[in-house]
Amino acid sequence: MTSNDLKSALEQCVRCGRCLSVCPVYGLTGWEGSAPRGKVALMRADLHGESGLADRMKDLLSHCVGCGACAEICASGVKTDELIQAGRSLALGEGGLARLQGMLGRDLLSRGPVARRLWQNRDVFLRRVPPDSGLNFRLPLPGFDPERWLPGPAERSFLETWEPAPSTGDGPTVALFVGCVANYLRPESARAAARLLQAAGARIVVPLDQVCCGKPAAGAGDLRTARYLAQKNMAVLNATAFDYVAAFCATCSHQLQTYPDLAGRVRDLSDLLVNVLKWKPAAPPGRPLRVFYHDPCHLRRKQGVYREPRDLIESLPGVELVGADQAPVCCGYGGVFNLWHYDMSRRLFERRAETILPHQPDLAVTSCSGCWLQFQDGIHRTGAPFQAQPLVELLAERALAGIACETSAGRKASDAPTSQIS
Amino acid sequence: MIVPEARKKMEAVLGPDYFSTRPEDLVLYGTDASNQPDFRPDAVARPATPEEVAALIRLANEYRIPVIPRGAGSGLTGGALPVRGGLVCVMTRFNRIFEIDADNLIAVVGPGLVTADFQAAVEAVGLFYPPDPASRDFSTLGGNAAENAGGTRAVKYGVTRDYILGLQAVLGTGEIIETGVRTAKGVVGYDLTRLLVGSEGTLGVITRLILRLLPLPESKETLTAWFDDLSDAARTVAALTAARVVPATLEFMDRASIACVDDYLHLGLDRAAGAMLLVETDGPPAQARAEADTVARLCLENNARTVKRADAPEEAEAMWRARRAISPALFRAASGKMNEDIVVPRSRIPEMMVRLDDIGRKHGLQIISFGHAGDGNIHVDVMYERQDPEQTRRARAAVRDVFAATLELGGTISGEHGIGTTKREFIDMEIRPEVLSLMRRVKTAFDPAGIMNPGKIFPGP
Repeated sequence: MTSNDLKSALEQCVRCGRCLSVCPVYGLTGWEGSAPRGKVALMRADLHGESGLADRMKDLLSHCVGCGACAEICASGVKTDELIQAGRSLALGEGGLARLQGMLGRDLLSRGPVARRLWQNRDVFLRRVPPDSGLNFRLPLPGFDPERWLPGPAERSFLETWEPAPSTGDGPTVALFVGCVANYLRPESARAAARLLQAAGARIVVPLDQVCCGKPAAGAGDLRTARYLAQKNMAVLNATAFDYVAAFCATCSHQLQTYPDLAGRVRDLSDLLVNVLKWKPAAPPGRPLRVFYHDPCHLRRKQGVYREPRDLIESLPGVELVGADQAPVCCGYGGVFNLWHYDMSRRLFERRAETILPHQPDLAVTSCSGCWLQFQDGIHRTGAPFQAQPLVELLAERALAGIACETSAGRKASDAPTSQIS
Repeated sequence: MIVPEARKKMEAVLGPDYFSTRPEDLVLYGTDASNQPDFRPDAVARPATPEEVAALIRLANEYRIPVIPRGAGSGLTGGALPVRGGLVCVMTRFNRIFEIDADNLIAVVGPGLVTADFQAAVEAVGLFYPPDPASRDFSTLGGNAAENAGGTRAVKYGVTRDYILGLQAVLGTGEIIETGVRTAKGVVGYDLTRLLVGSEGTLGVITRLILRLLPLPESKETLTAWFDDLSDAARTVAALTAARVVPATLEFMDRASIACVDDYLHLGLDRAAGAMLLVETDGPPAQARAEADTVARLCLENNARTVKRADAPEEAEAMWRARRAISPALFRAASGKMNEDIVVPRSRIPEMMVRLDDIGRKHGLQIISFGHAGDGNIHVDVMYERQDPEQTRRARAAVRDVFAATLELGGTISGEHGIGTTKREFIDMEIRPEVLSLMRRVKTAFDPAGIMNPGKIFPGP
């Protein structure tokens, strides 16, 4: 988006303020700068050359979880969440990544010798994660917050261990997009997704050279890196024949849908299972479980998918879906928002948890790696009386029972492989 | 202009987190929902206690700094705009519910509380706060009070003014005063509560509200009626009055607004219709149903093409969607709209509609009308292209004609939006000079230095 495109998109805002009623960040701060309307005003003033704003625009635009609730309610059709992403890009300039990392480093180094030592050892923590992975935008650097719960990197990533088996299905060919969190931190999710697709009759391909979807970079305003990753993924995907691309992380599928050549063929796994593969889990009765489904903003608001995960959960014998009618509430993760504003991110999770508690679930299930990380961290920190699990794992565990399964729904967040920095 | 000395003292009151002269805050608080060109305040304060507000206003007096109280910036007439710079005093941190007293049907709240949040809180305990301006999901109770906001339930339940028993405010002098009562009745002294309500921040800053509550109606019935002709809809409204039915809501849309909404939401509305009425009745189930039966019968007797009853809350919600979508839909119909909210005695709505047609033709501009048929409050939108100075001039002339016609029919030029900056050049059409002069003297008593929200309500430079 050029600055002129941005300028004319910003002119669509009539300043009514309706977005104030849905913006989670404004709900916390009550500061107009947190509200979509305020950020539109700031970008507008900045683009009209108002002095004194440019060097603070990144900070000003950082108050956004990217949930898209403002775009959904806006009667004038202003997609503020997307404009903020574009604004971050303009504010950071091309090559935003380097500036961002430099900034993080500076922040960290200003916190004394302990932080410096952690910073120097960050490679130990992130050693299995390549530099272009979105995790570099997602995982806070060691020392940022000693209380934060983080999953430890898996011994071997999913893509390192995946051994393609001859596909017997006669259904459509589905390319599985794994995503960084599943690949490096939670390979069992990716294995569950692969097994589900196979069980549903799809012919599955897993392009081994796939890279990050690019959303973390794009969200941080580093559109150059996002474009580079998109091109790389397209090259990898185009080397194979496929009917659909399935992602089981809502943020990944949302970003993949922005690839010009891929539109229409990218589906969230639940959407694909229900609407294309017409899969009906033939699960044996399992132990009773109350499950709350948390809508990822990138799935419900951006892709309109919310019925399918619920249908799948409800079809599992023994599982009771609770609070299914609840309107979507952002978990507060927000990608780089979680990194820039961990304190607000945590408070948003607490608000999110408050709306779940009355339903008394045993388990909160979601289909977004960001939401899952946020839930794990939040549950660990607040002691909320439920656990969190990716949807694919619950489905695989319940519906593919009988086949050896390495996840367990009852596992506590704190029992999962963790790497707690202190 | 705020001299550094004053800035330092103000910052000392609030601390650097809640007092700002940073350029971004000046941008953020230089605009509001009236969507006029931006202004820039000199500073932004976000106080949290009446004492902080009082300290700021005392300093503003000392240094002659304009003070602009602000809730959510959702007003439509520019009440929150810092047209002469100064200090914007943002009240959103006053968002506490101090008490909900179910025995005495009152609540005490901070003015920064969002109206819908308060309504949800009282409805959770079976109580009811009726005023429902269209902005209630984000506007604040203090802003509603300062503008005396109305809404769709005014026909039966009245407006914000009717639910404010008392308040606390900081005057333009910096004094903290308490007015009114926390009882159902009270006639001791002048009714300063009612004076402050609707004063648009020109007398002081409201820092606490004592609100009157009602029991939550047990049930409601919703229906829509479609007519070939607006005059049939107007006759229906008159027939309802004659039948002694007071609906909780009685809204209308004209042909043009039906088309605008349908273009916008593609709801499959009856575009051949000349008017639509949306009616709600409430009360004990039997009464609400019986009243809705009467409404339906009277609609049909007055040539309604169709009458639809909502059988489920989702159907009622679908009916409301069309009504709520009008304002946003109109923003898409032309680049500019002059959005007025005149009121005429409801028996004269048909005459007013004829006048509006004539005025539109005379100035060659489309005029779209909708609003609260039940209380005669008509939202009149004069559509024009903002970039076209000639159309802009004609639109202003049309607005003047609309106001003149309104007053001729015994009406008033603003029912619920207030005067602010957008209507102050017209106020003397309605208010006689000696009354305006009295109002100015009243203002002087509250705000001798003239620092409270200057450039609003009163005509002049």
